[in-house]
Amino acid sequence: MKSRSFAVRVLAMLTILVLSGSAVGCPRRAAAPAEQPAAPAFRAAAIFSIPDPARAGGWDRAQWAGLQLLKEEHGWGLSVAEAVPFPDLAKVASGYAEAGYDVVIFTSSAHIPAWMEVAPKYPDTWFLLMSVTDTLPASPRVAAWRPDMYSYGVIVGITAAKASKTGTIGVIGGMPIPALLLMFSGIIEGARHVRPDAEVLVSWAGNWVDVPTHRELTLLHIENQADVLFTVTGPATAGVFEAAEAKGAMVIGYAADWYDDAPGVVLTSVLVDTIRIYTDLAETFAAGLMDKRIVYCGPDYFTLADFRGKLPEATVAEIQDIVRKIQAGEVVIPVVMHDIGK
Amino acid sequence: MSIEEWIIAFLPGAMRAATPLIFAALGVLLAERSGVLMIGVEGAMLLGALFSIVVALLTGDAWLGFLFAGLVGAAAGLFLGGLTVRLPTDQVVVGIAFNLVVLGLTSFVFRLLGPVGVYRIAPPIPMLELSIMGAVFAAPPLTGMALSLTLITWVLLFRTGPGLKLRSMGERAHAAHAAGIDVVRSRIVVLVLAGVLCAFGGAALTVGWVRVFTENITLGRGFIALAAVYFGRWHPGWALAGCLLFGMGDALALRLQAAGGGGTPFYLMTIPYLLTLVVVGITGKAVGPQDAGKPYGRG
Amino acid sequence: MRHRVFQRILQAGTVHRTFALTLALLAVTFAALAVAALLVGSAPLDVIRSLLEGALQGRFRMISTLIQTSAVVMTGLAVLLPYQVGFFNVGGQGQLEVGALAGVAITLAASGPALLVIPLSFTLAALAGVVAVAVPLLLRIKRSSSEVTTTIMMNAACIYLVLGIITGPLKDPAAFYGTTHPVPNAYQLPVVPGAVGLHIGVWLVLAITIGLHLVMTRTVFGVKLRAVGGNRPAAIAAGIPADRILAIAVITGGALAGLAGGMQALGVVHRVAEGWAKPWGFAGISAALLGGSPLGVVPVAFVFAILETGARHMQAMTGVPVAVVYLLQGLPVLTFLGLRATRYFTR
Repeated sequence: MKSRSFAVRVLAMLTILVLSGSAVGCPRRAAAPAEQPAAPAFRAAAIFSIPDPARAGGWDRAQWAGLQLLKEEHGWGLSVAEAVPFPDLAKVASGYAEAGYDVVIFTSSAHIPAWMEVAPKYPDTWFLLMSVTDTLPASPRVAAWRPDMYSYGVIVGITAAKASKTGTIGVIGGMPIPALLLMFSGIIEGARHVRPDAEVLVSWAGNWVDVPTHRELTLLHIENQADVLFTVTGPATAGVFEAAEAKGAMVIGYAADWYDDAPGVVLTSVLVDTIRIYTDLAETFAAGLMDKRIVYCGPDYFTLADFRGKLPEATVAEIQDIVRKIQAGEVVIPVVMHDIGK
Repeated sequence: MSIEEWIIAFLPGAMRAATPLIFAALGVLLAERSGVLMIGVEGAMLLGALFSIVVALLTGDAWLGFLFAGLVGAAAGLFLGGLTVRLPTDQVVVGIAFNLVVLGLTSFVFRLLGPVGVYRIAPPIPMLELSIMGAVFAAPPLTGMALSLTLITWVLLFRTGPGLKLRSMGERAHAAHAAGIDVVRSRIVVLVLAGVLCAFGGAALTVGWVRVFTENITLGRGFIALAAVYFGRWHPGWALAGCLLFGMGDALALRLQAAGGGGTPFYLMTIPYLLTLVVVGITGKAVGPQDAGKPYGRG
Repeated sequence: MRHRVFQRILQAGTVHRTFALTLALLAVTFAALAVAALLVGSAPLDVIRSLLEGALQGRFRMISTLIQTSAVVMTGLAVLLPYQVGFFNVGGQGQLEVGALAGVAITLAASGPALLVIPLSFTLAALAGVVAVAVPLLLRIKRSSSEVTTTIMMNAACIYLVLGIITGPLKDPAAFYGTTHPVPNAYQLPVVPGAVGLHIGVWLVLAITIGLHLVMTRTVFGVKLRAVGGNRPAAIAAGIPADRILAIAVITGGALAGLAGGMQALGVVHRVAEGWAKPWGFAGISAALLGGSPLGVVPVAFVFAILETGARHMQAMTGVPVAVVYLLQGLPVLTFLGLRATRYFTR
């Protein structure tokens, strides 16, 4: 008697479980990143600190696109570790090295300490960084693709100042990391280059994830006359879109094309050519020419996405002209660092 | 910016931050007044936050999403009630485990939604702040609703027969039973209500405020609601005061941050909890319904 | 008649019941994982295998898992001991984090032989844990405030305080996120013996667990502990100083949680940083509840550690998101509570 009631309850629990699982009622997605194909040329592991890099903020999504290229065009094996907390980076990277991966890719400047720590311990594994650095770890197999964040900011600043009616640009950063201090200083200088009276408001959310905080900070910018916004943060980017939509401001996308995220408010995006970066990477490895190096990714790696009619043709042409001149080195905006880190 | 302008901009910000807290705090308050700890408030909020936005997106109607969140909250309340009241089991552990399960579940479901996910949810939903009810309450409708519910909760608890019964269950469950109250059934009913209110809190956060969902979007706001209830010593009026106070603190901290003078925001985030501990320390003994947290068995 | 015979078999069958319960919990955990796998379009068996491989395959992963186990054992004991006297310490996570910060801070400030600094660091870590639990304890004894309320409040306050300090005064200015300077090499916990690869903290946890087991089963104090927890008025009538026993148990609990933080910081992570802490405190509550005794905590902690360390490998190999692990940590606890309250297990 008793045992039957127990069994019934176990069964009930399991049924509830299965039902609650299927009640989610979602179609199966196509096969997730599963086993690698037989004997890939190289096995790469990429590390992200945010969840779901395929749909995350700009930088990570651009990296994701490049990594897919490695896998699909160049036949690399690929494992992606996502949502890795900063203090766990070294452990995760070591785990990949121990598991015999050929290449471990760090995708953020927050990963630099882990990169410096782990690379020397595994001299047979390649450790690559996709971020701003001037030094390499003490290991023979390390390299970095170093984006010129200042020039990137300059291009954003020029675009924003040309598009703005009020002359005020609102910038929201997750946390004041050096790469962003560089970039945001570039925005200020770029904006002033095309519009000397341009004002750039910078604020820091103190995190990369809290949507309400980002929304309210964006609203404060808009209250203070900003009509063009730019943000570098994590999943909380959604809060910036929301505020922009509610108040009719425009947003410039970071690194990846953000148009589909919020078609109503995304003016354009300043893209980072990760396809070029990862093609370069794959071809260098395939040719056996990889060596210890820092690859400088200058203004020619940054391009404007389609404006999709959000600005008059003439203004777009003006912006594209200045950007072309910067890429060609005809216009040089000197590096001036602004005290914006709080 | 003049002082008036500043206040005009500041108060709505504070109310936006406070509104989700008020809903959730009322849920906690009802549950704990009836003698059941509502540690699961964070989880219930998270459920409401996700399912309101999903339904709002599918139907294109924010209010439908809001109502659906209530439905999910009711189910959560029933589930919690089944475990902590009907069986009964430990209310604290169930609450903590429930929060974990919901965090995993909502993150997972959100991920499964795929391209429907994060940013897509934002555009088509009209802001609730702009509806006709806004004019009626001279405040955003959700805030108006939260304030009215606070009043209703107060009247219910302190001016009606069922309210008296509810409180007596929380103070002396066995005496209430002796007086002919079906403690188990009544507590489950209260928990269902509490689940609805907490889920409304989560829905207010997503469909009423930021219009998107991200993993763990509540980020501990359920525990702030918990603090508000303890701060308010289980009284609706004072719990409301707690929510408003914490909401204002939130808005003020943001403005300090935007002005670049805030330093690290984390010290400010300890204030709701420390303040609550001070209140508990000062007011002492009489805190809390006597039987809150004690499993009640007929026997 | 048949009924009574059956009942006697059941009474004798504690082992069977525990076995059935364990089986049911593991079944629920893996069933949930399998459903999750199906929903993302992976093969359930692959997912389960990759989770176990990620936690147990090879020395490197096994060591990670054992170190995680030691942390959960400590936080589990920090809940278990006060629980015996009727004090539910829900604030283990906060106590652990302040403990870790105190432990790390002293290694950054001190100079001297490791033989001195490491014990000092452990002491401070334990003390910080005690301070964090002292407020709820005092409020309980002096004001009869519910410790569940106060430890939850204290927990959140501690976590944000630590975040404030590591992004503020103790922040390593060169770092890209909120973190202290790394613990100097000399004060990182030594790995003894090198061949096994576990730092001394893990062995200390083992010793503490066995020690507590002996105290609770073989000493007068253990008897008093259970007396106060079982029937407080009767214990007081029998001349047992209930408040003192309570205070000792709670203070020991806080110290264990703080020490757990110090060990993780000095032994593994070597710093206190944003996101450094796993939800050890919450896993500890589950471990204490499911384990029920100092020795019982260990296997439960081991299962939780497997989920924690295996999850990343599982995500990387099969695409099942890490967040599923929260589900897997909560579900067995709910199932356990539900099953235990049913008639079969309460007899």
